[in-house]
Amino acid sequence: MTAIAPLLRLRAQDIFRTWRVWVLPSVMVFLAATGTVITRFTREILVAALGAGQADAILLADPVASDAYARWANDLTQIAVLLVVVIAAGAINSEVRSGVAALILTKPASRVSYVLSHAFTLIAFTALAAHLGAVVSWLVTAAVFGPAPLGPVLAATAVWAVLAAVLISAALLASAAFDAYAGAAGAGIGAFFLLALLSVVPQLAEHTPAGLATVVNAIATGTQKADQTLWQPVLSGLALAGALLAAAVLVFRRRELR
Amino acid sequence: MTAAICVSGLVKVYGRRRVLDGLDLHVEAGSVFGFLGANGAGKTTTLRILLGLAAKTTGSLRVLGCDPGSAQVRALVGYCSDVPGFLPWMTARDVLESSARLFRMTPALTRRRVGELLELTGLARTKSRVSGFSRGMRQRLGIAQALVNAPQLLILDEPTSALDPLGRRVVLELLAALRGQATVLFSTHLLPDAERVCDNVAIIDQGRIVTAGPLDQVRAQSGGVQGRLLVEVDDADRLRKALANQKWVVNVDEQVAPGTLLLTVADLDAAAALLPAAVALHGLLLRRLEPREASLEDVFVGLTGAGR
Repeated sequence: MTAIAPLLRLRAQDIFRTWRVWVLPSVMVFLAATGTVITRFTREILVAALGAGQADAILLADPVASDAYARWANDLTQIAVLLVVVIAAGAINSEVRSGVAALILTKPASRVSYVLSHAFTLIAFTALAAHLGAVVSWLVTAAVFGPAPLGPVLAATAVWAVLAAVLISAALLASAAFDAYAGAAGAGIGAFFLLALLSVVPQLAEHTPAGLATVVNAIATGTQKADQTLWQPVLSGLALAGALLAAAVLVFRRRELR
Repeated sequence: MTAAICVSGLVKVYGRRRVLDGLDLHVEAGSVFGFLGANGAGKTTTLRILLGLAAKTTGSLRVLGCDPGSAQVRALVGYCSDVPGFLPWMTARDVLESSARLFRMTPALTRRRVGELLELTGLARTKSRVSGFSRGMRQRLGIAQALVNAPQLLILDEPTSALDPLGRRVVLELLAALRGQATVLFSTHLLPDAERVCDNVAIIDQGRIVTAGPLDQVRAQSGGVQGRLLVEVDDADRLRKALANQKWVVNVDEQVAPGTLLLTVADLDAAAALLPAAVALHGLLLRRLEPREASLEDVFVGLTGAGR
């Protein structure tokens, strides 16, 4: 992996010296803060929207801290993943189109380092932003519902980071393969919906990355059962992310650059 | 001399299109080599293959004695594309420092080298981001980043195409100054640039080298034409008739000005000696005789049919 350190530095600068440093963390913090408040005031929102009579017809239990965490988990697995895929989809092909990649790769930087530097930086930044959101979720939950444990929300977010790593790797593979940004983003989003579809099959949800979103929700709400159903999706998710990155490297090594 | 670049029978096929068709190229170490061709002739494709950015279909290539694009070669090569791309948030200094880090240069060496190159390319006082650069500034920055590692081989694709006359002069002087220290291979369709700085040139047409060699030798290959004579006499029509059957005259162009003919000749020195006698023999008055060597443009047009 020639020149991985300077490339990681370049990627980090590319995030921290552009608008990107604000987007993902801001979205995470926004989801974390508003999700808890919406959970707490769901009934009031329904009454305001539907009127007291119709709202009372909907049976809603009094919200508790775990409901807020469930909301955070849902926001991560349904909204944040799409944003992450959209960001990753343009990482490689935009630099190929603009000629940035050609100038880097005619210097002593290998194509392996080039792809992996993108992957490491995106995954690390996404995980950091998500954990920032998790902490905000915990703080707001504690403020709204009273003292709440930090462990479940952090653990759920860590498992979500594995799901994000899988989808970032899929988007990078598409970004290495396709010139068009829309094509790469579409492939990444397609991977997300494929995982969601496969999670309907119980055997796949228990033993493959398709179950990661379910595990995130279960950990956040404290309903996670046996260890096996946690580790198999997580480990297979990490393996899948690694395989997708290896494929991205192989595809990019064969790609002709402008 | 040893070869910095040695290419033999290079073929590149995209779908049904044969972009390079058995290209042979030999670039001597330490020379300034002009790679000339019309748009679409295959110049950029050749450079991309030499840099390992694109794969050959068949043929053999050695760059500095190694496979193109190998790690050893990339440490010794500098490259700038015709429209170099940079991350838009970077300043010129960021670009050069980032490039230096890829070559594992020490911080002290990086500072010194970056300072020198910013001065050399006139970007030392430019603090703005690359996104606000003109095309000429981008090209100058591209050349600076290609020089950051003091390369043994500098490959430039149309390096002066976006520069103003002053910028062009600076870059051409820079390339000329590298003669003997580094090998410079640059593609261009600006023939005066090549004439100004190149030791050797190659002309590519439809994926094949149609001629290559030292500049003077290539000029002399213009269909046997060594040059032209600009002749002004008191009666140009009579001179035209008088020269019609002379073996040393290849062609007599239409009058370029009243009383003035442009003769294309095979041997410029011999023609310059014979012409005054021919003029006197026909009782004409010779007002001007101006020998002109065949330009690279003559050769280029003659060999590639460009402009026809």
